[in-house]
Amino acid sequence: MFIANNIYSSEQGLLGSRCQNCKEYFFPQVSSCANCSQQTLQTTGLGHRGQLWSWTIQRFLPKAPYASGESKENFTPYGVGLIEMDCGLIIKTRIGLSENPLEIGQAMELHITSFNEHDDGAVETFEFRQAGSA
Amino acid sequence: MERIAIVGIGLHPFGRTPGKSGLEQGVVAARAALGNAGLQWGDIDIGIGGSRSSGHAAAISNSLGLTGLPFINVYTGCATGGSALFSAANAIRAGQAEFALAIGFDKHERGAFSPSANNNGVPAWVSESGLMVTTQFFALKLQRYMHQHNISNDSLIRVAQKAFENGSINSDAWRRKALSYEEIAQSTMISDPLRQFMFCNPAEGGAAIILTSEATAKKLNVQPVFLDATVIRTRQYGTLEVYNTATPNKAVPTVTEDAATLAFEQAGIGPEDIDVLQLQDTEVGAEIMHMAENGFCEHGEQEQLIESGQTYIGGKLPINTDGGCLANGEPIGASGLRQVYEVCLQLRGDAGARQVPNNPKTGYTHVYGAPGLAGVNILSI
Repeated sequence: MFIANNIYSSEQGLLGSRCQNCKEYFFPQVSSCANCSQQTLQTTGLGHRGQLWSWTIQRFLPKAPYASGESKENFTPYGVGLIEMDCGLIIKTRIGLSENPLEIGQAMELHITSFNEHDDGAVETFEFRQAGSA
Repeated sequence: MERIAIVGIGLHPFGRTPGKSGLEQGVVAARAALGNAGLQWGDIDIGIGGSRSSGHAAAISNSLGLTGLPFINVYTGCATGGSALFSAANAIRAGQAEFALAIGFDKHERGAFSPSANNNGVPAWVSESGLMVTTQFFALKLQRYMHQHNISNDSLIRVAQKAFENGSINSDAWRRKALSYEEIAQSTMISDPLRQFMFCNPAEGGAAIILTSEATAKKLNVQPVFLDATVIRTRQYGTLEVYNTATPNKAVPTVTEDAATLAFEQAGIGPEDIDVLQLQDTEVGAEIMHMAENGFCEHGEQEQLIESGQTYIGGKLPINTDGGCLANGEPIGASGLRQVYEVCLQLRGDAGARQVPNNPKTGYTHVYGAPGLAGVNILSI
């Protein structure tokens, strides 16, 4: 089960919207343009790759509705980043951490990752990792 | 535009006050402001105020008296106090009121705020997957800013050190113990590059301001502080904000830059004319970035100003002289008006141990609130 519908496809990567009037990109999909106020938006793939624009590490367990199922005792810190996609849109995402320190400007790629185990199977979400870090 | 005067200021000390509700703390602040102005509750023609966690501001009437006055609740995140003051000033300008009360109070539980995705027009999966924590946003904005403008970790530590030193000489502050450079530098990492003592904490408190026209102020036995500009702006398309799921990479002015520009235009003075200032310091990076966004220095110039002590009470650019949000904590509804309270004390020469020297004549306050608005006031005596 994916954490939300209509935000990802394996072919197109993250799914956003593009305004047919002013050509601005949005993520996730929207029905009205925050730039020109028009309602002529079309689904568009934002791809699988981008560059690290900024980053931090979430080192404490967020309060509900955070839904990882973790407790304070078993919480694992996770990365949070802003990724500049090829179209120029900067998206906020979880970052899968490796031993290599995060550096602004690094090439990053999209992965699907298990987020929480429920009775009906794993909940999956998307994250970015340093390109080539598996 | 008619000149607006502040004639009464009141505060309920910030921090933790067990057994006293946020609303009760608001009532204490309102009574203090009335006493300060030499007015009675029945003199107030309109009330405008807000809280995030302590109910409707209008409910202060239950304690102060049900006089039938119009009372409008406002809520604009950390900018709530700015919005209340803006609306109160405009009620006087519109001829709707001779005396207007702007009030804010709050009492929050411990720990980082947990904003609602639904209330902010954000899809639920964003908060469920842990991407809607406010501390993250501050860290992300700051990390990028430090990279772009060569701000070092040293500046982050020094801003916190100043805040707690100022707090240590403010009897109304929550955190009154100065912290050493090492204590701050070695505190727990919360959200890189920000550590425990670099963030403000949700807290409790109340603040109230009474406004009137310049003509009426002259009839009272108080020293008025004039509100030469009061501005609220919401963000333009393209700015990086706290609940954004995505941001276009555009060079547009931040909402703080927009508010500051308009405020200086209204007041007819520039940043170089300001003697004492209060800038939104939700965390140390916010104070640093807001120094430049409000026009008090160039981007990147902060490092040198901070290191040379210019942002301390005795410096050329005294910032957050009462310890700011860091030392006072953040009761969201009250914070913006605490800034105005502090600047009024400074301009009246009543700030005691933390008084800025050489009789400051002009002051500046700035708040930034979710999901992307800023409030700026310029005051003079």
